[in-house]
Amino acid sequence: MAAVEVTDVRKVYPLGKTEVHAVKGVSFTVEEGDFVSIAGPSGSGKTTILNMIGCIDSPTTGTVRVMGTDTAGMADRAVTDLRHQVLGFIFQSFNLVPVLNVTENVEFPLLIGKARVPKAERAGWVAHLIDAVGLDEHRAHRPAELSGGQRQRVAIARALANKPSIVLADEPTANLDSETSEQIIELMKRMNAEFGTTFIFSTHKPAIVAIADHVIRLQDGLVTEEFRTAAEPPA
Amino acid sequence: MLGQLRIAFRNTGRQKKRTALLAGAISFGVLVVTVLNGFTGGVSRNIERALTDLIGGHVYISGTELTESRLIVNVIRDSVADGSAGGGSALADAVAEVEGQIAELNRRSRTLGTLIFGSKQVNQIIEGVDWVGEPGFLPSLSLTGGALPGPEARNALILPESAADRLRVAVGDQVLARVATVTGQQNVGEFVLAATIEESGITAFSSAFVRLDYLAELIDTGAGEFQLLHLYLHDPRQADRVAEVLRARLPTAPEEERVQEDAGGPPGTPGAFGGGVSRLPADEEPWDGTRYEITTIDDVMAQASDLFRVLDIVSLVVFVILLTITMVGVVNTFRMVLLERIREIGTMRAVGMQRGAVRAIFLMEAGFIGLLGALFGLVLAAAAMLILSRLTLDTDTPLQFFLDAGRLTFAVPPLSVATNLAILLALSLLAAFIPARRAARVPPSVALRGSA
Repeated sequence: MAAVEVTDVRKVYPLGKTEVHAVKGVSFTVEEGDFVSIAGPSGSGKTTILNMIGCIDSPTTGTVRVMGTDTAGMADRAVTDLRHQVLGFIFQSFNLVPVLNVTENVEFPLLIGKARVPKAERAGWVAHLIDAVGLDEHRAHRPAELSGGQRQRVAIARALANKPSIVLADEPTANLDSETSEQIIELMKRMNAEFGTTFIFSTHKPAIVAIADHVIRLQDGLVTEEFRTAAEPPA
Repeated sequence: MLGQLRIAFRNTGRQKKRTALLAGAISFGVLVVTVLNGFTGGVSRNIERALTDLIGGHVYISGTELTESRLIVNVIRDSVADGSAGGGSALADAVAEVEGQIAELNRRSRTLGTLIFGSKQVNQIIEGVDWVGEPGFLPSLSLTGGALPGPEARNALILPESAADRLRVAVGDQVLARVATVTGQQNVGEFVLAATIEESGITAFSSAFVRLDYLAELIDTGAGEFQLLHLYLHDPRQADRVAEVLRARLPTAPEEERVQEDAGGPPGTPGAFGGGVSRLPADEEPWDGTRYEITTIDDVMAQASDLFRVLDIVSLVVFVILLTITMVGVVNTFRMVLLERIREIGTMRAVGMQRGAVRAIFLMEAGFIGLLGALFGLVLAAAAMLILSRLTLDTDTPLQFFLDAGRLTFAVPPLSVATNLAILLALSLLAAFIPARRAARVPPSVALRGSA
């Protein structure tokens, strides 16, 4: 089963009396376990497509299937549950909850769902994730006490907390220097390999694009190029 | 829930000054209403205690008989021997029913007479007390002159100081008393001033005290007879229940007549002032034997209680007005909070938080601020009441009646505190509800862009 199927998706935003065609008919498929880069310049529609895959926004026309589920017409509660159970998010501006420390931010998705994870199991898993992103010594720090790279590591750990099938990262390195950017992408790649989670990230940095297994290039709301760097997608 | 609680609680500390201002405004309202409630509660308790001391007891039984010439006479002839019940009379049997509730039982007679000394005379309530059979009575008086009379001093008179001053009488002087008998005849007695005492809170209510048996002679009630039976209860809150039992066991006036009598004279001593002589109208049914009237301290307090209830309602209205003004601030604050934290809300929604949970975070935060304000307000109110209760006020004013040993006392009813807190919490949640609902309804895609 494909992790994500995007079929002839268009997105039109009203802007005063005019309309903005952010996505003009895009189709592609992402397999489970893929490490995908959606590349393109600013305004090419990367964020819009990620938002539609992430059920944060809905297409004007076309269909988006996430782990086999057609997201069109779903009620808010069901879409929220889908996001909680299947998807993880990493944002350009990290978007951590400022009043929670590292441990609490990572633990946060585990506390808001219907399923109750036993406290000991929850604590063990959160500690493992924090350790995996290299923030063991900062677990009691609040976001304001961390560097940009460290914050994004917390965001990665939080995105993986619920063991999602897919993690969506919108320009995860845009606010980071090039060295930290590479470290973050490498970390995501390692998590992709370790947990088998599908990663889809948007970027406009060529050096970052090169790390992806599967590249979808956008220009003006259309796919201009799609290729795989690996011979076969991961099983 | 844990995640939401944690976030809501910590959010209150994000803008400390803003939270402090809101909580401060709420605490001011709580301070005002709590002190007012405490004041009315304390004054009410003091008045009840003062009246209990003044009238002497919690339940008062008076009796009326009808003579052949249809004169209504205030007298109780039934025996209730020395405070113990079971004398075989209707009154003794009725009292026996509630014996377990009674701490003390006193027989009294009371009349309004004229005291005469030389060319001076004053009108004075004269109360007959069996101070031989009621040994606790004399020591309870606060003497300002003279000495407590011994059991042999049959015509001893104990006067409030103001009355003694007006008569210009000194301890040891002979004083004449002109009183009316229960059937309306004039009689004169001779007393010797044994002691003067401090006024009770309200000078007009201060009684002179004489021996019950001597007063009985003067008002012609006969030996062993009296006009009022006062019951002190172990638990004053049981006064109404005890009165109900007594009313059920004793012959009483029909309801409509009782209401008229209540309206005509001071409660607890119906007809006793001014001789209590009146004639039964020709159109009313006569009765045989003694007809009893039972009143309680609650009846005496009824008018004062109504006043305090009005005061409590006024303070509650003031509280609600103060809170409503504060809640406008809460609404505006939470509108700002919505704008400030819009990306955060978008993130939480994206991560999988349902709308209701976002709304709950806002409401919990408002609840925490409300509780913080309430707690602070209660502490301030406790401090204010402690300071005010330490002030000693002028003891010579009628205000004394409302005080306890010259000091204000405060009694905050727990139910009032609970009601105020419930109103406060409800208004806080109501004020935060609209911004909270708006925050929950912002689509995640819009919230993540940073607009609401």
